[in-house]
Amino acid sequence: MGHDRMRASDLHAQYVPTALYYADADTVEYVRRDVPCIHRRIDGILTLAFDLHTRELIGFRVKGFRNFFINHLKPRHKMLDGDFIALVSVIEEAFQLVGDKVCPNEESIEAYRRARKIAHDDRVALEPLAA
Amino acid sequence: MATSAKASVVTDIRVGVGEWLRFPDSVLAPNPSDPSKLCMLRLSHADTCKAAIAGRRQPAFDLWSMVVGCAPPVPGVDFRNRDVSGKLVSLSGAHACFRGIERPLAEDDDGRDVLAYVLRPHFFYEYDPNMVSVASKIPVPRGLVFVVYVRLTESRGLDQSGMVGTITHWSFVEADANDPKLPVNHASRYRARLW
Repeated sequence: MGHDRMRASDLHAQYVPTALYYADADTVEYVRRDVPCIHRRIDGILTLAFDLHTRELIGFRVKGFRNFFINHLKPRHKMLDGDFIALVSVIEEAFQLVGDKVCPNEESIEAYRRARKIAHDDRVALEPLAA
Repeated sequence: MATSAKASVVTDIRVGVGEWLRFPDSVLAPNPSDPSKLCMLRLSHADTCKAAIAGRRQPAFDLWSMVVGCAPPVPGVDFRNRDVSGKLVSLSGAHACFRGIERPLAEDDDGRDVLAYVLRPHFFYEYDPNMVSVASKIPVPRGLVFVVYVRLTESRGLDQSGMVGTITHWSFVEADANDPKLPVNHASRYRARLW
């Protein structure tokens, strides 16, 4: 933790956009910039992140991720421990799961489309969950 | 004037390296069952430190300025923001509390043991580096509220240390157009309003 602590303490190092799993919040988050965000809940799985100043969409959260990973992603994509997880697959799987429960409205479809586009354009991948 | 300003800068520089990641272990909050009383909540550091390791500091700055209720302890913060006089709020100033977030959180299948405290801060600190400091105090735009999520220790009661629960995450959300002190769609996004 010493090296990590030193790195974390550095107030001037550049932020490199990275998908992170936050265990306490049980959420995966990806944002393009280290800025204050407004979070807009789409449903129980997806939340979009907007730049507080410009209101531009800059990222997303996938919530309840541990359960989602174990019950849906891992078996379906035959993932091995240590595999990186492409967030495009996560968004697609989440959309399918939501669609199985309720008929998504226009706003919801558009939200998933926009989140998927960010994941695709930025080639967002999550570190292996156990790490 | 020049002398006092210079002294202020020197004082700020004495903020220790990494001080901004040394959060308090607990904070006070209105009791979920009786807002006229205060309770103690554990403050989880792990996710905020993980974000900081990745170079993302804003979650920590949000935590300092709207949960703990003070400026992030970084060099130059007082001097840079000496002319911005707006008060900060802390979690103890929450004006509404909901229970149940209608989504899984770890072992909690539908987030029924999660509280959502709602605050309406007027100012907060943004990560915005310049020559003086990395923290800039700015007003919160209209139409937003700040929500702090707490996982209850047990369905009911306290853990051995007297904590009611653990603060896990927080964020700005859009306010309800009809009731700007509450989050948009609060009736569907939370299970019940406690107060």
